[in-house]
Amino acid sequence: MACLQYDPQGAEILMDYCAGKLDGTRSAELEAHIEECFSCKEAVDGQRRLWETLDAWKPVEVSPGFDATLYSRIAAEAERPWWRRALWKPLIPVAAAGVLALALVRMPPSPPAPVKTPVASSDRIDLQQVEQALDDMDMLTPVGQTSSSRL
Amino acid sequence: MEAVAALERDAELMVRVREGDDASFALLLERHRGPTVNFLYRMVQNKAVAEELAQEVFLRVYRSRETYEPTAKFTTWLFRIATRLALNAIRDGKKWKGQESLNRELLEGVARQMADRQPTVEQELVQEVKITEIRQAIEALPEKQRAAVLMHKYEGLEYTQIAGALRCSESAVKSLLFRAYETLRLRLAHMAG
Repeated sequence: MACLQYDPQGAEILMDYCAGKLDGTRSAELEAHIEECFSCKEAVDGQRRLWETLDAWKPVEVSPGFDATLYSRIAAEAERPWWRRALWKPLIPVAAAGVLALALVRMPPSPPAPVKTPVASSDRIDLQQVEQALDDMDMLTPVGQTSSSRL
Repeated sequence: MEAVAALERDAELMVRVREGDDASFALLLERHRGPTVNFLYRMVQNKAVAEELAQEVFLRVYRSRETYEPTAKFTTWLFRIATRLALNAIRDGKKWKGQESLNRELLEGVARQMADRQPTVEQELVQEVKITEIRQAIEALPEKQRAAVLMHKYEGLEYTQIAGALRCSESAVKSLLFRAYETLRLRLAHMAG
């Protein structure tokens, strides 16, 4: 086995070994190697010590009312009228594209001289809302499903 | 093989939720509630906020049940939602620096860990200082490195899952993790040994 620092997969081997995810054969190879190689032994020991140090931060217990709160939120959402639910959010980009297309169609052939006007705060808010909606859509898309496959 | 079976089971459960089986949602919640809350807790370092964000994660999962397609691992999708919510919360300045609540949580944790060993007050304090240092070292990491380490070290996610959650390549995840562990090794070197 090559030294970890010369192996292109050295970092991965080191992390996997300390996480207990390296298969038996490769673990045995690494263990045999570090018996003879001081620098690799140091690297393994360092990562192992860090791993054990991080173990001190134990998980917290979830509050007993977590599920009840969640189910009541789900129930409350189901009772809300459809137009108040967030289901229309994915339509925002489509509507925005429609408005843009309409504006382009209706735009006069020679536009007047540009006049710099400060962006109204409501426009900024709309942009933020669109951005937020796009973020929401992104999070709701299962991994592996691209936006193009959704369209 | 067990991990693969568990992943397939999650996707199967979610398909059943899509078909209107709420009991399957309860099973998914049971399986992923703890890891999700703990990942978020370590990201935002406040238990109440973490639980609030976790509620939002599961609400989003439930809301999107009708459009769910089992094209990828459920856990990856879940952690992608959780990561985005956590990062948005941190960036929006909702990072609640309530040291009071954090310290109370730390003390609760320390008390639980020490319950069987009847530690001295001194040991409890040493342990508390240790956890605070770990927490601060992780908090000081860049956001993506922090998320990657928390998913890898504490939630045991695979590189592909972390890559899916962070929307980057597997090699980028390995590089993020390597740099993060290197930084942590240096910052926490005095505690090891």
